[in-house]
Amino acid sequence: MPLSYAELCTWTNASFLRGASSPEDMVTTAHALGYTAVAITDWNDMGGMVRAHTAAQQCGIKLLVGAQLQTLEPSLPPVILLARDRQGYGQICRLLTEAKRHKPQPAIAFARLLQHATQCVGLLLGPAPEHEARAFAHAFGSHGALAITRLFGPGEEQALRTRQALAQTVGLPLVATGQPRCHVPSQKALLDVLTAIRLGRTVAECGFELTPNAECALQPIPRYANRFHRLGLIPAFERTLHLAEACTFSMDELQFVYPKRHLPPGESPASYFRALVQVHAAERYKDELTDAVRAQLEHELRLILQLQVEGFFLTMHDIIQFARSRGILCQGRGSAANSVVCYALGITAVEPVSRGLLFERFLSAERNEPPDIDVDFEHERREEVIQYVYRHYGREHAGLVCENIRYRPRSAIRDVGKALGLPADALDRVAKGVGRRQWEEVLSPDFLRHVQLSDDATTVTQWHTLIGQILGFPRHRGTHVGGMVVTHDPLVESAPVEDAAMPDRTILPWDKDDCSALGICKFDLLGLGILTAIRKSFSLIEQHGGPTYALHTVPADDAPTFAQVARADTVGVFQLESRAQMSTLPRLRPARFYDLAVAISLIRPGPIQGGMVHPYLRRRNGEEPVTYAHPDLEPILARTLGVPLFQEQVMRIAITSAGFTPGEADELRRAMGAWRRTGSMKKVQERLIQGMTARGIERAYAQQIYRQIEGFGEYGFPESHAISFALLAYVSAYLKTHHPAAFAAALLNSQPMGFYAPHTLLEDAKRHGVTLQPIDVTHSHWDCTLEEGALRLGLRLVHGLGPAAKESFEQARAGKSFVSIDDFSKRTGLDRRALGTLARAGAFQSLSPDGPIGRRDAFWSVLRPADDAEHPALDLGDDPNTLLAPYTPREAVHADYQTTGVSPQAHPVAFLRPHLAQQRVQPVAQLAARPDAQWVWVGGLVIARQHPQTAKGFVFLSLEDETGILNVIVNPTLFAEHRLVITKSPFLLVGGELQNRRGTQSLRAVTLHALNESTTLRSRDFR
Amino acid sequence: MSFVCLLIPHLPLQAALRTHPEADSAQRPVALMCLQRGRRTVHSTNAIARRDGVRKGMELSTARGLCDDLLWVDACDEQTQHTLDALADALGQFSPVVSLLPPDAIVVNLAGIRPETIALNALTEAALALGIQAHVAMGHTPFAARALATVHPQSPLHSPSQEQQALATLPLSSIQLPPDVLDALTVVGIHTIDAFLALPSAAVARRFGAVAHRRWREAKGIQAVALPPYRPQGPVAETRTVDEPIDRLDVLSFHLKALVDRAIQRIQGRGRGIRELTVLLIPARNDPAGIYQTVLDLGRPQTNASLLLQLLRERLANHPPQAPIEQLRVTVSRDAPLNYQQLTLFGDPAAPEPIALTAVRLAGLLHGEERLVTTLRDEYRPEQAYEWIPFDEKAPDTPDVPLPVERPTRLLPIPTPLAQWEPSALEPPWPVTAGPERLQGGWWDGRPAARDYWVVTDPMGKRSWVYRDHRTGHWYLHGIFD
Repeated sequence: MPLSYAELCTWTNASFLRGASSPEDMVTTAHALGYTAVAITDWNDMGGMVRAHTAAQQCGIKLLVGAQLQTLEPSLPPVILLARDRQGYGQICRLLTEAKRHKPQPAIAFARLLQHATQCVGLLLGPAPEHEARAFAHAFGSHGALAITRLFGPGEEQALRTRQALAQTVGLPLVATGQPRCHVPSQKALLDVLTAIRLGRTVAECGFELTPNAECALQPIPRYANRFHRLGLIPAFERTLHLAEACTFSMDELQFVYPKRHLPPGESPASYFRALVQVHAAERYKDELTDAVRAQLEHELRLILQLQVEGFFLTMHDIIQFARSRGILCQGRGSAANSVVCYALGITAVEPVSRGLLFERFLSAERNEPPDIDVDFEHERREEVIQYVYRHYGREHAGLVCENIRYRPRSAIRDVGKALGLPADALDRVAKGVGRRQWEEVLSPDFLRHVQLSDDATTVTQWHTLIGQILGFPRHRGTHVGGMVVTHDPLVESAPVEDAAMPDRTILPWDKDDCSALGICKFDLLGLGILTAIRKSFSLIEQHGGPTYALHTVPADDAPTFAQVARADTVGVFQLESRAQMSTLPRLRPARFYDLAVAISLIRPGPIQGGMVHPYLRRRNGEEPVTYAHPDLEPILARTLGVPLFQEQVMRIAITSAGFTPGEADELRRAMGAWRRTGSMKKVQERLIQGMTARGIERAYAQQIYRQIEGFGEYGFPESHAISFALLAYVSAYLKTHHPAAFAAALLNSQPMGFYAPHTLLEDAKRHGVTLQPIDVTHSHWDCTLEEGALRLGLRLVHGLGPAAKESFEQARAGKSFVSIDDFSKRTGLDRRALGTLARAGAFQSLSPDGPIGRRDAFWSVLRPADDAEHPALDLGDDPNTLLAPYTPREAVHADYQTTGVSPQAHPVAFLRPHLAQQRVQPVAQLAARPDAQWVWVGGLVIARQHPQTAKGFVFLSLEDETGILNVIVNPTLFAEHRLVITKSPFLLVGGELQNRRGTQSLRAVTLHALNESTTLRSRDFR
Repeated sequence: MSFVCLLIPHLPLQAALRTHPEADSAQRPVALMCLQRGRRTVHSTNAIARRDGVRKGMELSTARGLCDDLLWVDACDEQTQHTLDALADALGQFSPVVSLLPPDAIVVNLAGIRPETIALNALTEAALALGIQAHVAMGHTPFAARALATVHPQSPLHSPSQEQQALATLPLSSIQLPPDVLDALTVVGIHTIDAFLALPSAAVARRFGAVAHRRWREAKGIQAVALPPYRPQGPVAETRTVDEPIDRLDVLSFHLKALVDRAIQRIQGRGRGIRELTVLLIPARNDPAGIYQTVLDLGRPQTNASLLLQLLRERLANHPPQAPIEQLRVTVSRDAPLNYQQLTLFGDPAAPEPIALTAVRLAGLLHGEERLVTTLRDEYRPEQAYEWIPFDEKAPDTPDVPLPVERPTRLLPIPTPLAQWEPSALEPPWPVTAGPERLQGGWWDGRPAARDYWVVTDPMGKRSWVYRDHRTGHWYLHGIFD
């Protein structure tokens, strides 16, 4: 009896709802069962191959690389292809790429498959007509076989007899496979659930789509061999080894070479790179190219060339140059800002040497990893950059990294529950319960009774178990936010490429971790709204006779800017506009650039959970002394007053105080990012604490530092990243201080972005003295513009107008003003709905020779029946409309909000003010003069609701009236009592205790009611 | 000429509640739900639910968050149409010309009838007998009657000038304008019928379209409301669903009485009588094995509810349902014109009822109406691979991909233990023709199966289907190949 076996056909969960085990589990279990080799042949995919490869390397089993391909011909079975060598691997990638173009399901013509898989092992997974089976046998020769199984399924014996006869007729040998869909039989229930999810049915409705039994797992070799022995088919079992031997390809053979095509003649990448950096460094630093900078530059150049990643920098430089040439604002973020080379090449905007940033955080010989550079581009124009990469380097050489959308508790609760036939509305309520609680808590008996699900029902118990099993499984494939891979050789030879959901984009089947494991360098091209807003601000300022700005030429250390930030007057300011930031800024009182980096890093979940916020603020305000647990820590933590705020500080503490090597410190950083998912921090906890105590740091303090590090979680910033963001925060604050109209217009022109809705941005602009001009088709452009210092609202704010309306409006108005509504209607060709909305928004008021036309009259003149598509325009004056009364001011504001979401005229609360004043309700602006702890009533529009997980059930509301914004704190009891009013009412009347301390005001709510004022505004709600 | 309009407020909700009497009678919040993008959202509510804050468009989970005891039912277009038809049937008693005025009203043409002879409360009571609450209004035109009914629950006939005055101040929502027209009129500040009628005819046509213009002309009295006469559709059928399954005959009779009364009300409105009555009683979870059907073949058309109920009670007493009943359905499966007879003081000595009674009782004793048939299901477990369905229903499709394997011609309803076979043996002691076929499933419905099936030949030479239960190791005979 043979005791060796190679499994040639397996599906893992990378087959998306077709396999019930991870590639890692499949590979390690095959190894544990003594398999000689195991093939991963996912359904038209290779997404799990990198993980399988890593696992196979770790446990020492031979991995066969392949895939299962569906054939276009319905009468033909699927085919398994296994790569015999590098060429065979490339063939499979090309065939998969081609198959994925077939919709709705991937498939490829049988003849094409036979023609282009010459260096592959091929397995026919079922009986085929004799002619095709002969062709298959001929194409693959000794590397082809007809697969058989012995899994005790219904009708399997008959199928075996059919295949034996066919094999004999066409001369195609039989080969045994188990075709496992999971690594152990206990995953069968999960496999059934995945099938049900894939088919959109309940498990009970799946019938024969389910596997009949749990034999669809990896089989112990003796037991499986015995089944073939009893059938006299041992040669088929032994053939698995012969075919496995024929496959010599390993994923290690993949090499991703950076593009070389655009080098000047005679230059090598290294020589060109060195020269380029030196030229750009001289340009960038000018007179400030000090010895320290030169030394750092040389150090970095040596390391980059040693790691042979200069091609990466050259490509990134090229992409940045393109963006600059098109006027697209961009800036590197993350650890790249620690590099002088990146600064010199214009990839980053922050000079690292003068700020003492740690280059090893970015790149180190010890880690021997490719560099990771994230570059932010204007979010509206990032696609131009992505398409440039495709165009310039060739569509065959570039692709976006994928992001596998995996099951998380909420989606698992819904999908598994649906598959088990649980009621949809109960699932909805349970799923919505996740977030505040862990999913295990949500499935507690109390909660289940609350949603009318019996906690003792077997189905609910199964539900619980299956949710635990499915978590982390890939659900479907998405596109990474901006990670691109660019290679010298055609990408399609190294990975199957498929079309992304967005047109003109292609993606790889591997995510960023997979790329990292394969040593593939990706270029992260990200979109950032504030860059769009800043660039648009710069343009508007310049167009209207102001100075010409660039990110690095905005005047530094501007006192009025810092004063405004210190007053928390930061609506619209990047990273400093949130409620939490606004309540901290008056205590922090930033006075220099570095303070902004601190502010950005301080109000993050990591430092908040790590208990770092209040110690830092107390020390900064001189309320407690700045102390260090050990003298060694002073140089590391001096800049942040003894409180660790940045990842680099944690790394340095580990190196200096706990004896970690730089490599181990970097491992610590990674563990910090992943400990919530993996619990890996526990492994280094004791090592860290022991290391610190051994160097004389008290154990209690060491534990405190550990807790802070743990609190960092995945939310801590590297210092360089904070500094990069601080630059954008400073520039946006500067623009808000000195050019409020241009800044407000740019923010409106860059929507959607930021923390606040357009009406809040406009109300804030009004409070800063900006004059607003209403939307008017004669004066407005599509974008908001500046008009003699005032801000003229643009048509982009009108609801329901899209890109087509923009184009027709701009074409129609080019060079010629509109003379009437009829003229506007005829020339733009806009539909009745758009015309009606413009009329109600008051956009036609200047289009009458007899003075401003009322909104009702304008609306009347564009009215036509819904089904009257033939007559886009109506003649005016065909019927008397003198009966129509003009809008009252309140009606006009209401119409403004309904049609544009903003009103240049008044805040809706202003109309309630007389009524509110009678009830002694205070305007927000007057609260600064009220004493602390006084009882006050405030009424306003809820512009944001926050329910942070870190706030122990407290809810924070931002309440806006015509004079300002107030932070309202709602305790958990009050929230529970008034949940519906708080979450659904746009206007609230809140009574409570005023907190007026250190320049900030907030209201601790004691009671609240809904204010009756109809509006279509919606708040921005956050967790 | 005058007309009566019966307008049914919240018709879809009322339609749903007609079949859920407990919900209707309970003093608790009730909401009608509709599916929007796969989610249940509130379509309409009763007053109690509205008082508790449940609003149209709200998601079910939110509504239940507001009202712990909220009872919700799904909207059903078929039920809504059925309710409108039922009322139209019944109103046939009042006038030969009845018209549906979709979506929620019925107009009775009083041509040839003196309006003062019509008591409006008789119409509302006729509706109430069918479980429908309606607003009733009289008008000189169907338009006026309908518009008035939207605002006034019971509006008698006024003089033409009074009627015009009453109409003038009604809100525009009372005249069935398309929603976008109503929105547009609101934007330009026109809220009442008189303001609407003040608009020039051409302007209404050009700016608001044909439907709005028709309403305008109807309101002006220039154009008549189109009223195609109602023609009864299909057999009369009445259904009722209960929350707590019924296992007592007296309770069952109570519900049947309500349904029979409604059926008679409707069939009389059609001017016909019941010739054959089919009663279907459906148990909880629609278990086919528990479905109870009985047919009363009455010999001649009947409208006597007491007689029908007496027959049904006897039938149920002789052959009670086998499972608690959740849904009752009464269908007039055959009807016939009523043979109107002159009333006499002493009744008809040759009354045919005893013959009908005998026939019905005989059919009940023979139990001939229980006709079921099996159909295949897409399922590996043999005992779950078929189901019983009523013989006259359309059989569901057989599985798309039948199992590629021979199955026994007879499946034993309860597998017979093969006690003499060795439990520890993994293979049967008789010669094997095929097997094993391994079956592991059913974990999801509380009927798990883990078995190895074999086809064996017994000592008599007959082929049998046996299995070994994985959990106990015991062997069973499950089927026989004839």
